[in-house]
Amino acid sequence: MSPGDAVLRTAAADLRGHVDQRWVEIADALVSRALTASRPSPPLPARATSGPVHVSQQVVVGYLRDAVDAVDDCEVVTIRVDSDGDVCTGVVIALAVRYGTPLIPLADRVRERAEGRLQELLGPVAPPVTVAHLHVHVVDVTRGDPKL
Amino acid sequence: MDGPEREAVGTRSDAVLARRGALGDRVAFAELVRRHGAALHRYAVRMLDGAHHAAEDALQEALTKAWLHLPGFRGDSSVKTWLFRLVANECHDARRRRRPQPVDDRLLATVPADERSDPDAVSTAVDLRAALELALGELPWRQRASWLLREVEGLSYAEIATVLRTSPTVVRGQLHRARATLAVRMEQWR
Repeated sequence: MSPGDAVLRTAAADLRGHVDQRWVEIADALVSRALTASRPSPPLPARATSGPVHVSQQVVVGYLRDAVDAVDDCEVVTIRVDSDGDVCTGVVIALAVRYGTPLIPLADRVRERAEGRLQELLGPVAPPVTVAHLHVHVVDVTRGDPKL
Repeated sequence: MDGPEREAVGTRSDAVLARRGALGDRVAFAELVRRHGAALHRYAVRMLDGAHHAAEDALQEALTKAWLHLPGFRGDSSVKTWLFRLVANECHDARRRRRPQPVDDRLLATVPADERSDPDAVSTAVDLRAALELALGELPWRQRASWLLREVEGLSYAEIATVLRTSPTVVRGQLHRARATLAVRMEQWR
């Protein structure tokens, strides 16, 4: 190794461990501004006490993820909300599941929580979004906790 | 975010955080940025010749795109590589927008030592870093990017190729030239 290589290696190691002070100062602001951007998302019909309203599909997906997150031994991989014009025709929730978890009781718990959250969010829409519209797919199996 | 929640988020893998972020989990996205932000910022500043405002703009744009496009992230690369690619694209665009400056012969000259500094003190970390950054600033863009991503950020040749939209063979060549040039430029800082 030449003397220049040795100095370069030392300098690279120093830079590797260096955190710009400016980053510490601006990190929170950059994240906050990034999170103000709205992802494009089609609307879903909902019914409030004041009458019909629309809710972004992204909002629905976020609430469903939050609801299913409380179920142990599984992690939501994707959520797809299907609609036909002004009607929600179905929700597909794909899960990663811990190896050995009984799937049918797990799917029942996921459906139950998802249905409750949908009804809270969309209100008394017609036709109602029921368990029959909620499809649970297991797309991955993990040995450890799928939430990690 | 309270202590236990922060702890729970902190133990999750990048892939799980990206998945949760794609489903609208803002805390997961913030944790991803907390993990990789310092490295992304370090890279952006060095790629934009120490122009902090331009680097912050590039980083802001990249993070906004990361948030918007996270639902489309399929995991073909690691989350870290994907984030570096977004930042590299923004830095590249920022450099293209700047007024071009002619390359002079300084690239082949030795780094002028600061006459006010004590030669015995130039080996301090700060001086060494300053010397490195001066030398880095004189490298061509791809060589500089390849060297930073490999030697500082620890990406593999394949990951660097993904970030820079080129092949691992090209990355290998760029790195070889960058190392050779930087070694010559740093030699006087022994």
